[in-house]
Amino acid sequence: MNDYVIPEKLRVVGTTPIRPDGHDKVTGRAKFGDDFHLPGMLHGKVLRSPHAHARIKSIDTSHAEAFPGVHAVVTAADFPKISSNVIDAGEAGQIDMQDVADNCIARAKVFYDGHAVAAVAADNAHIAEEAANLIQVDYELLDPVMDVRSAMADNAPVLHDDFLPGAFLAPTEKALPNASKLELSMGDITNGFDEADIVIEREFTTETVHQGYIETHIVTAQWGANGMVTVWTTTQGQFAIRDQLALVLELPMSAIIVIPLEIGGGFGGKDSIYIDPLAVVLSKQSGRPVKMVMNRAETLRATGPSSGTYIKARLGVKTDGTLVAAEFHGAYEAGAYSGGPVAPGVSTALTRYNIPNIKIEGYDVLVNKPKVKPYRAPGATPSNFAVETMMDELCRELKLDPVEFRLRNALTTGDRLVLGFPCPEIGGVEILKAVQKHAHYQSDIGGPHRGRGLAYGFWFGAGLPSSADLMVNSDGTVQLCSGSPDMSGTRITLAMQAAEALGIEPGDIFPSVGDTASVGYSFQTVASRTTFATGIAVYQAAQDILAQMAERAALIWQIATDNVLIDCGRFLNKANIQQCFTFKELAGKLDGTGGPIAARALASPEGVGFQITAHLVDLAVDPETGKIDILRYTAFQDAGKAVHPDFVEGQIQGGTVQGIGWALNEEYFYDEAGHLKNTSLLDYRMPTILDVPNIEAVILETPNPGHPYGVRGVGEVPIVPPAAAIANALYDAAGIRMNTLPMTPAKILDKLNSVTH
Amino acid sequence: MPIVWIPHSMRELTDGTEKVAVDGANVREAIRALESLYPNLAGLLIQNDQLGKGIAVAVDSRIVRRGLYEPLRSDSEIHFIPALGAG
Repeated sequence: MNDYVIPEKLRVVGTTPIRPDGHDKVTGRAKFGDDFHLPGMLHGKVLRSPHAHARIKSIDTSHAEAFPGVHAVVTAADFPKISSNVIDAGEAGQIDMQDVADNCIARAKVFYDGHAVAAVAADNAHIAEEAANLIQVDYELLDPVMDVRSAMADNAPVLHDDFLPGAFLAPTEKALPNASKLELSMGDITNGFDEADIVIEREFTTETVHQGYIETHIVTAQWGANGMVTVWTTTQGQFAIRDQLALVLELPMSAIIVIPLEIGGGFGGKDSIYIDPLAVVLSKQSGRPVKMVMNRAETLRATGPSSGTYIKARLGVKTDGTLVAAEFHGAYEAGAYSGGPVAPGVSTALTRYNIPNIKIEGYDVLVNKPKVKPYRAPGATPSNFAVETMMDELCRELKLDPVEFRLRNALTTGDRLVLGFPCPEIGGVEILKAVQKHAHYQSDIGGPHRGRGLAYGFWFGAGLPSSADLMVNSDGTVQLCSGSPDMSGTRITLAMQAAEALGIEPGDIFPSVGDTASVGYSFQTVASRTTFATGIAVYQAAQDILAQMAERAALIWQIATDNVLIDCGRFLNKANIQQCFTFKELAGKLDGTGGPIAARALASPEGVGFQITAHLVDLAVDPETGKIDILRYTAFQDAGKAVHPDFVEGQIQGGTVQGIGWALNEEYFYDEAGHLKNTSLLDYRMPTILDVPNIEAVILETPNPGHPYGVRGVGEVPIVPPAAAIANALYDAAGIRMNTLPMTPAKILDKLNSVTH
Repeated sequence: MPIVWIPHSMRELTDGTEKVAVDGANVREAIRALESLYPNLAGLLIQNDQLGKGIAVAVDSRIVRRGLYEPLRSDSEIHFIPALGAG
């Protein structure tokens, strides 16, 4: 695949037009999941397991079925046993659909507190909830296993008797009761450490965290009289929901239409089915549309958080500051079913440094918690926390400036990644030099108990399939429909790319998100891919539109199409440049020259631009309470080309705030029996506007040659370095090294006291 | 000839060899050529006539969508990597 020739000057890309969906969203007119209603609609509620690990001996639904106002009750017995259980999700790997189905409604065992066991549809949600509580389930309790090290122990309770642990590309047998293993390496790790003058080895733990999207999971399903199923839901991927429903319910994909509503946050957590198949089957049984709304407690207990981890790492460096060896062992919670973020987590642990000798071991570990799902750069925050705090320790040991140290070891274009292949264009050195020059880095920290920390972060991103349709209206405006739900202003970033390519204004383009019956297949809005990958689909469709319009101009002028010059929204006769149509003028002539023009493009781009960032933070720690106040925060990030710089800034700020929450407050609290104890946002403490200062975003642009305008994804990497940057600043402020997340005031105070006494 | 880089965990099957030059117009043919040298390798890479579970392939520094059917140049580098996923 050839690289694009990126124009030196761009007319629309890089500007900041107002997003077309913004007004409706801030005035409450936009339709989110809970805004959707149908006549005759029933309301569904789920009975969830109160146990973390138990065998289901029997379920008696008779009392619920007899309850006035109840129209349907379902258990796993109402769902098919799946015949084709593994599907390919492209670069994202493969998904075991029987696991997905069992996660939606437990079949023989419950694997976590909150696991769905049965569901009820009734006239209203209160009746449904009351009836669900009348369902009697007889459980045989089993010992739960709640953390990765316990789950990997020889005598650990086994979650799945039929679990076949994989080891990435290795001919190994079952070595651990609940874990699969991944190994990567380059160079010679033994020789590498032999070359090192200083070697440090540290251990870290991080806790389970949730994406914390404000809108919970909400779905309305209608089983039509003709057997067609229609689903209205809030999701990162309407096609993913359709395909998963089809596989779990053994229906043709073409018999299901999924209509995406506006989405109130997802961050990786809304690309899978949970209540969706329950609503569909309840609708089938009741003959009425069924709406289901997960409350906050259900969302925290039974959707897909991100992994808690145990990490052990060893770094070797020469006295001149050259890194020569690194060993990284990371065990990531998978939750109740295998398939956590271990691969991206460990693959990004060291990728931003050029270290010749690396050995990596990753473990995907089953525990009695909900099946984890991606969360913004999945797996990378814990591994970055470990490695970047160790890098800071080495800088101090060697008395080297932290930016100079990282510059000395920075991964540059062409260096080999631990995955084996040479690194494509990357602007890491530029990022680090921008940190050095920035006023924040050169300023005095000032005051007692204050410190400054730096961390450097990396994320791969992804391509994957995207579709886009363009249709030219007779007034010269253009309809743009993509298959990518808009989570962060991508309607306008796609419209801007169409406008750039077509030579018209973004305000002349009306962007929308299509349902599964009206637009071509698109992978989910995940992996920082929409502005990049769907943008390429838009660009390709625009080129098709231009070519078709040039044909019409040629027809009118009775010349060969090759003789039509396309120049920034104008079509000119090369032989007589006095003959010229603007885009709008030519659009008005389409009807008389063959009819309307439309184009569809499906792209699966491979030229993914890696994401690289550095975060700099100043903080103050209260020695009496252990509370951290963040005083100043600057995030430096390479956007390739920032299509809409305001939205890039928003992504950087949003991801950073989530990283701050992960660093300081957020964690799942389970008791010994495996019950989740903090099931509200009062107790699951996310940062508020009072917890963070303005986050200054410094956007750099090292173009990605894999995109026609040089775009890289931007949404994920901002969550990667905050925890490490804060930990390093805390050391600078108070002389304590934290090896656990979150760094709560209680933990900090304990550490301060242990140092003091 | 295209060069296949052997993943760390498979090197016990190649006596520690890290890189192998093989003939092949696409990734599938390269794997088949590899199989003739190291008989147990292909079964780990190809399952049910597609790339094995959790495996992606990178050709010439790009993680490719066509998988086994990705065409190779005479100087191509092929790497088998874990599928990465994202949020």
